[in-house]
Amino acid sequence: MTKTRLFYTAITILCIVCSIASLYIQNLYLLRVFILAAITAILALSVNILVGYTGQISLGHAGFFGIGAYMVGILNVNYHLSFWLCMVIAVLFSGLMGLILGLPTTKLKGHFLGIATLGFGVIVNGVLNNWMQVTGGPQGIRDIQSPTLFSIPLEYGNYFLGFIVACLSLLVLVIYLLIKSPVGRAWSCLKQDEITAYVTGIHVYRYKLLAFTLSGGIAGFAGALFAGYMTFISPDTFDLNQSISIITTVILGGSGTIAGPLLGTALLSFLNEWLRNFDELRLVIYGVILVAVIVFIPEGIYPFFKNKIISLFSRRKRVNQLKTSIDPHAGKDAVNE
Amino acid sequence: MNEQLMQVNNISVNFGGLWAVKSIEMDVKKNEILGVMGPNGAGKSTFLNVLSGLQQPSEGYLIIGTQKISQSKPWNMAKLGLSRSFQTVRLLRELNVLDNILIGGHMDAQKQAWDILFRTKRYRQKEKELVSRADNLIETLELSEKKYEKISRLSTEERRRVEIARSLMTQPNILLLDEPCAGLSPQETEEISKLILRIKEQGVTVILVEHNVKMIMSLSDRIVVLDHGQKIAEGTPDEIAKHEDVIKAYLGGSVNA
Amino acid sequence: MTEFIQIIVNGMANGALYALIALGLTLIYGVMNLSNFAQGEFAMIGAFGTYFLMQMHMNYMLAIILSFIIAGLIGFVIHILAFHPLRKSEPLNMMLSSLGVSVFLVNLSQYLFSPNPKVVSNSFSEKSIQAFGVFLSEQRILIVIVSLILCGFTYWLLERSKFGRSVRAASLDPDTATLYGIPTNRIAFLTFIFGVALTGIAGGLTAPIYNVYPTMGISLTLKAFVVVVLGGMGNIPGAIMGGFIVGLIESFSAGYISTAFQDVIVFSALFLVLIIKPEGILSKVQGEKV
Repeated sequence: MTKTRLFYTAITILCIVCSIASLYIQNLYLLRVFILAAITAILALSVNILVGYTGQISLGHAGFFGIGAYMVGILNVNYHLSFWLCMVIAVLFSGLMGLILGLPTTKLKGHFLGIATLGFGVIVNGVLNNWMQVTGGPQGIRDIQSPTLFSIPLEYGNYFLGFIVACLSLLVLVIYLLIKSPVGRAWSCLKQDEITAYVTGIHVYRYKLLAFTLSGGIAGFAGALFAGYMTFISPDTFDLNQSISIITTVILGGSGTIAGPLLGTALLSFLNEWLRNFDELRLVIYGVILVAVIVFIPEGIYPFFKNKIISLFSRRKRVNQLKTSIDPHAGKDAVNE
Repeated sequence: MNEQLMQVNNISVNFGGLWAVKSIEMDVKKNEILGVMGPNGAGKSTFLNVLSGLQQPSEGYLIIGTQKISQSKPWNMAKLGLSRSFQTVRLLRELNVLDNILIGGHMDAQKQAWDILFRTKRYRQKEKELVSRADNLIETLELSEKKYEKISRLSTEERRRVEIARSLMTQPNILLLDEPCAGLSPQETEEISKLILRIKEQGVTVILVEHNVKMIMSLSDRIVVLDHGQKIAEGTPDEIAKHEDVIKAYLGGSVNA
Repeated sequence: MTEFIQIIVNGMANGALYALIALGLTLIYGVMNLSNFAQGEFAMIGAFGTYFLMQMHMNYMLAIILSFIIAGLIGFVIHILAFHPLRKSEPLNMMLSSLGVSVFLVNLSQYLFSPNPKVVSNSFSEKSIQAFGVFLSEQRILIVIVSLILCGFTYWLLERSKFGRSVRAASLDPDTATLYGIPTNRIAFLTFIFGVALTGIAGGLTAPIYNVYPTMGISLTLKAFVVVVLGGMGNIPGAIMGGFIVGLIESFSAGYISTAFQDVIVFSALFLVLIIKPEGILSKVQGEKV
């Protein structure tokens, strides 16, 4: 259990350091980049719950992101509810949408799940674009109130960044606890082999639904933060390209790990800024990255380099292991897989 | 000794007009090793799938304890105390031995959100207890050296033991073993046989499906013989060895159904 | 009543187009086990090909035939780079790779050709015939005729020719097909190229009606997927039937509900199918070997 304690300490220190550091960033441009990156990181972690830990593909995650943002926008602007109340409702509602999407789709696998989730994203985007009375259509929603936390106005980028870093750290902690718990074990089991999950008494559908709900809720949370920060939202932030770039982020960094999506976010945010002057080419490069990562390092950058480094340090140990790991039946089982 | 654990009533499975299993009836008693044998395609695996909930029977039902079960979700069978191994071992290849065995502890684990997020005392105790239970199993099954090895580095025999350990981790009343010795050498088969006897001593009923006639004859208290999806004989190993239909079925004579 | 017939006729014309695209998609799925999210992008390539060839004063029909070849060639390159290396990996990886290809192609053509729609006009698109008060442009008639011919040809190719037998064998059981000396890799290659080239023709056919722009493929891909799911993945007559069904759903919802919600309604139909009639769509949990 010392490992857990170590993780707690590391997260707490990192959280405090980042929050304090965020107060001293003078450069407004840099501040904006960091805040958007942190929101993307939350989004990537939410996709990772489905794609990485539960093995369920989601190609429509921008839908949840959009639902969260629009719930805040609509409730705040039209009904003048406070930002925090809007945020709670947004998280609950997008979690509920995750559950509703999960109900029919948990019985689907692979391709069909991909198509169904993609369809979900298209439907949400279609509704945002066309339900003029409520969503404002392509013009979107303006003048969303910036949140205030204990009389600290978060409309200042520094405070917002501090707040969002704290949220992100808390989320990382929660996900870590979940993954190390029986729930995480059940997820990893049904990801790798559903039949094993059945015979060990894991209620497969319930655990998939849990993953859908959590993932939807967290993506909605990211949406709510986005709305609170930008104070303006429009449907084209929540389109198919967004869904694809989230999943690219997760796969690039390494799905099924906590550090992977964070690393992916950092790399792609950096890339985005670097390509700022070639905005048309940004998505072209995303496309190339997605294909290249899947072809060359399908496990993602973080696990790839982690394994490289581990094997570098334990070369001697590996030689010993090789002696014992000669397995006369390995071939047979590989066929049976 | 003769307490009845499970009753199989008229179980049939139909695959598009073909009866893979037809009207099987039998009793499973407490603390026995029940052998199920039969030539290839006799319906042994399908029968086992029905018992473990992976295959819904077209007709018939099971009685476990006092419950009557005709259609059941697979995860419920584990809750009713049935656990199984597979002919081709099903383990999570990327995880180590301990983690694989811990999966079997799922039903007993603390899974409330509150407990997990705040690591309550009872949660930590439960996790510790599960780990120590898994440790005990690892020791009993002589896997101590391999505790932290990935499954993909183990031999077939070791994998079988890990799978049995995972099944035992669910604390079953009835353990279903689907050809635990397929693909093993005679020495390894001997090891597994000893293991099965030890499991029985701990009070677990074992249903053993096996091709190896010698092994099943020596281990089982009772044997049921299937052929063409039907039960053709039932009795002690000695009775089975002399049974005419069984000899016919194994020597390739056709048993008229 | 005339309005009703007009809606049916329009739906049939679009349906023929969807059937053609879905045909390519379902062929590729059947043989390569790939859900090709870049399928519609080949329609975009075909449409751009047609547009540029006609800019060079080429005859429309000839341009369409050449766009078949262009789409096929680009398909060849993409298959080598993005799909062939993944032939032994999980099907899900190929699907993600195809998403990458789609994003790449859409945004590259946006960069190269600008997002503005380009107009293709030919002799068919201006004329229309009228019967029983129903209008139908000659271009739509051409679409239906060409699509039906190509669907028929593909069906014949698969059922009657030696190539078709190999394709069917490879899609049923690639391992066994390899044992019988069928070059499954080459078959996968050819199927992919043929599948995307068919879609290239579909793109050339739509160009005079819907104009040519980089993002035109996305909604076609989505429709084609709905078609394929409706008809059953890998099922060719199903794809053709499904094409017409989706075309009709779409034109009815445009006619009686709202054009804006067209896509939403089509996808809701997809969800309905997935929920109500999951046979053939459901995962293979039941049949998985234990």
